[in-house]
Amino acid sequence: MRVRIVVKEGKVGFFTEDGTFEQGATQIIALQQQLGLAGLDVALDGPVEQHRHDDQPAQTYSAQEQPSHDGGESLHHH
Amino acid sequence: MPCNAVATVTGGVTDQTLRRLLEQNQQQVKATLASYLRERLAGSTISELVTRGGFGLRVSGRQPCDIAVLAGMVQVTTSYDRGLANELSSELTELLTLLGQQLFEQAVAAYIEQHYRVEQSQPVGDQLVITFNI
Repeated sequence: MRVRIVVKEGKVGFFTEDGTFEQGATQIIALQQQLGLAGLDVALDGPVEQHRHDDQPAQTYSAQEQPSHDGGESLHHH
Repeated sequence: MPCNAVATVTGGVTDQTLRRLLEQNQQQVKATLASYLRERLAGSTISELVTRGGFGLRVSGRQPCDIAVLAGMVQVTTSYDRGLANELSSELTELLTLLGQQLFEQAVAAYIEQHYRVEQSQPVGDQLVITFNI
């Protein structure tokens, strides 16, 4: 599973880009716990959520269905 | 903006983590503070300050003061100028916060690079974006 982390000014955004929402949420929580065990505690702002834009299909993505992205996301726009 | 995140969440580094990172990187913290103070209080001499439970710097010269970092907080002590102490305290606190955040960013990147297969790790604007496989 591909994961993207965006770090800015002490804030961290976790994003998974394939698999199901459940798989992604599980991986994100596991990753947060691993970072905590390494002394890098991150307090999550809320529960892991499913994210998509209005112009994207609502179903779970497969690797072949992923739309492209420009990688320049802001932590504050998700 | 196009995006295809399936699961997403944001979080913030805890104060405890920032304190620990600052304490673990005392030399870097002292060098950063000293560099700032040399410019801010031109003509002053900066030396090490031994503090109980923390670390710090002593500024000698026209505006002498002691700068201590205790539990991640800056404490400025001077009998010379209270206004200056307040200003320095505010400025150095901001500097320390920025440094702590940079150390956190570096530590997260180092952890990910050590444990996962990183596809890309690069600054995008003022953000660090790390893409990897898990």
